[in-house]
Amino acid sequence: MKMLTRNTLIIIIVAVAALSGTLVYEHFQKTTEHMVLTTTTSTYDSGLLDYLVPVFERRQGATVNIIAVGTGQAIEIAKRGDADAVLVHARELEETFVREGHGVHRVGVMYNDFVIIGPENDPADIKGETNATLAFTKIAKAGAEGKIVFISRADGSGTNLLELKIWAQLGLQPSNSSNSWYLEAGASMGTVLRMADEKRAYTLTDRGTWLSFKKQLKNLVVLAERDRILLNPYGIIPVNPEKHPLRNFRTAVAFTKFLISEEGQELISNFTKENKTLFTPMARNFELASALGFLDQAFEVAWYESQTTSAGTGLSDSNAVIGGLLRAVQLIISFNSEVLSITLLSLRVSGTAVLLGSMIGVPIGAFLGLKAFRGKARLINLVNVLLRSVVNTFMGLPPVVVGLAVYLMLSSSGPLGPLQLLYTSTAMIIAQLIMVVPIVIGLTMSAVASVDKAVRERAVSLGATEWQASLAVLREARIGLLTAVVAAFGAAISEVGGILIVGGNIRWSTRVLTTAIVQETELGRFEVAIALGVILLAVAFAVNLILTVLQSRGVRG
Amino acid sequence: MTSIEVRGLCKEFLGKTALKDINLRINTGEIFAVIGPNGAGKTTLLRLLNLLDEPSSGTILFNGAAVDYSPKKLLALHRKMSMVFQQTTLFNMNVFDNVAYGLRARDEAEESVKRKVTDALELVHLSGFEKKNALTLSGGEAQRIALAQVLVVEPNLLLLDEPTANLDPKTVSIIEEVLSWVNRKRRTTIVMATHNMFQAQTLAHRAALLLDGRIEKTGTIREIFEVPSKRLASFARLENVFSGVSSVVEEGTSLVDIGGGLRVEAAFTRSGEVMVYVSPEDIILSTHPIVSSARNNFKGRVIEVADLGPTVRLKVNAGRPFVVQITKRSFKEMQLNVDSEAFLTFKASSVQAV
Repeated sequence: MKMLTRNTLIIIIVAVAALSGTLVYEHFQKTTEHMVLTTTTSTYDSGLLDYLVPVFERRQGATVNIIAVGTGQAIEIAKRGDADAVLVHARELEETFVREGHGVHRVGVMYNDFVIIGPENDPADIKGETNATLAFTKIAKAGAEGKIVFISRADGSGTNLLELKIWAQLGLQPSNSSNSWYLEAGASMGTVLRMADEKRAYTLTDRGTWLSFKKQLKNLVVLAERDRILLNPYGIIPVNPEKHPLRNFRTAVAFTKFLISEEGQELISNFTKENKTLFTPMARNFELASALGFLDQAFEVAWYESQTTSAGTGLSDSNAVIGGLLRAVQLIISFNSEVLSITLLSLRVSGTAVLLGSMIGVPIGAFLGLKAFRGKARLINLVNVLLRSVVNTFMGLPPVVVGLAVYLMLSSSGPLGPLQLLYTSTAMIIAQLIMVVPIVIGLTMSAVASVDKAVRERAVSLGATEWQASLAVLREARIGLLTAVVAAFGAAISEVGGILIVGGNIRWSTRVLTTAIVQETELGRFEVAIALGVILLAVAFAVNLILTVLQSRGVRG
Repeated sequence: MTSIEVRGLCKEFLGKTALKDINLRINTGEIFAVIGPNGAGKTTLLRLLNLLDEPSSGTILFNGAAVDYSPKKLLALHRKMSMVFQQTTLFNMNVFDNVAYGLRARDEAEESVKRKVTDALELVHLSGFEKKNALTLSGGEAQRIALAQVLVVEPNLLLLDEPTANLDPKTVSIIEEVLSWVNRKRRTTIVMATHNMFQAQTLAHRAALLLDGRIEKTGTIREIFEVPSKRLASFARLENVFSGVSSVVEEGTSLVDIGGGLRVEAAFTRSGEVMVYVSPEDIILSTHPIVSSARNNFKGRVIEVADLGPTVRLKVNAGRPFVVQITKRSFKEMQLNVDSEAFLTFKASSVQAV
């Protein structure tokens, strides 16, 4: 009994250590630069920021939280002082933002462009036209003659606004019930492109969407491009520190400086999707930038270059691991809500899965195990052998396969799609439940089957009913049953493949220890990855300690 | 309070015959010993009587009624009998819960459970062991707990499979005492398997000699001893049993020539062929000859030493081999070893005729 108390003490110590591991992040966030960037959904969806930001974060030792919303909302958030910088592509709104004193040092970063597409035979004859206005004139003319159809998105999007701007320059107002050649779809770019393909119509599209849909569009080609009016310039504006002194102006400047640096610009031009460049850098092309509405580009770039934004706490790649290790140790003495939520979610998901899995697996395993040594007939034995083999096979079920199967069941096109469970913690619990049940069944089965048959006979001999005798056997197997449950928990909490597929690693909602470690490692934020790893290790250690203690008790018994 | 009748009982395991045509009658309140060597079928017979296994053929009758092997009837029968197995399997719980198991299986009120368990533990001299985990007990303690476990349910029929094999003398005497007490006070019918002839002789009213799955002989222990001794000696614990020729020297005293040049003085009056027994505990061992009132003094050499925990068992050849049991402390103090010279001393009244 003395030994037991000591082991309990060790478990408590380890549990405390694990908990203190959740003190990780706060300290990290206090000592590192932290900024919020608002941007548009389409910018974020392009993946450019996921590609650029980690490089900056590693270099600067800072974290950039990105809020992707509509253009108007992105600017509104910054106006309220809830962001440190905005990265958008809406010249008028940007200029107003600066004029009203919300932002300073607006600078052009890059552009992507729009193209006019249409049917290959080009009845409007605009092929090779570099003047978009002229091309639109021809389209209107051919339309009026009944030769062609033009589809407008008519949804108030940036693309739609540009289109209307060009018509306006021509003094045209095609949105008119008598204009049968002008279709107002009120739909997304992709839908409009498919419609245009079906109807062999003309339309205006951004190049990115065009590139990604091109393969499906058999009848369409790019007819007119490269007019300056078709260029879509992106500017970044740090929030005015005088208006919002609590914002992190220093990091916003550092981030901007990084984007417009030669390195940043080169990274942008190297960013591709399906082998096509999506953005063209322009921060250092002052003439073009000026023509695209960044009148003070040369001055602003010079200003940024004069700012010292040396990385205070950043880690260079060479000592990232060692530094990360030191940092992780340092971090394990502070508290943070995110790490706490990640750890608690891990415990909750795996805990629930194991709890449910035990409720299902222990009775089944117990039943199979009890049957195993009561089976007399050869047939029962055969069934037993088969069942055991099946259970043993499923014990080694690869988590990714389980994840895939659960994904297919839960995705909106799957049989359980209407439940809308994909990318929720429920989905993760389901996936882990499926992995855990065979483990619990298998270990329970062998634990129960390994109880000396003399235990049952002794119980029967002492006047126990069949049921009481079975309970006596289960009670003798209790250490084995506990072992099964603890082992299942250990397997669940350290599993990553399945939970990533069905959970999606969404911040604050489905991010758990293992998936967070994968992500932080990919982002190069080793100190956080290591700290999370330490927590996971502590949990796994506690689990194994419990296992060892249980087993040693079993041996002693 | 159960009588048993066994008719034509056979048991086969995987085509091998373990028991063949067993016919027995065990009377109510009787202690009945099943004597036989290992592998004779004693355990198989007890398991059949405990209804843990079904016979291949034949019938068992309790109080004249043939056993019905349907689960419900079995439970009712099981609750009237109980068995102490040779290899004790106690439950991995504390001693109290172990002993209480049978009572709780019968949904007995916890108050009376407590009283009965306390009584049973007292009976086997293990009061105060309630909180100990049963699996931490020594072999002798475990066997006494196993006995207590069975006694609390106050069975009409008590089955015991080698209840004292490999146990220390203290435990053996406690168990033997308890068994005769239970038989006397509760009139419990007891069937015990043993290969210890003298235990059978001390406890049992009647016995059956089981050899190779058959009953060779049934009767009193005396009658069993009439079976040629070579056959018995092959398995039974026949230490310190000697056959010899006795002649009366004076009233109440005989001299028995047991061979090897030894003549043993015995406190009985008998002449002719006899079989005598000297309990190993009754023999005094010394390194020098001692002068005492004891009539038998022999010199010999230690030929075997066996450590039994608190006691040591020595075999001393004094012309015929004698087994002597002494405490470990004496053994150490006397600095005995194999081949040491030793003297044996025992009283004439310690020599029993069987």
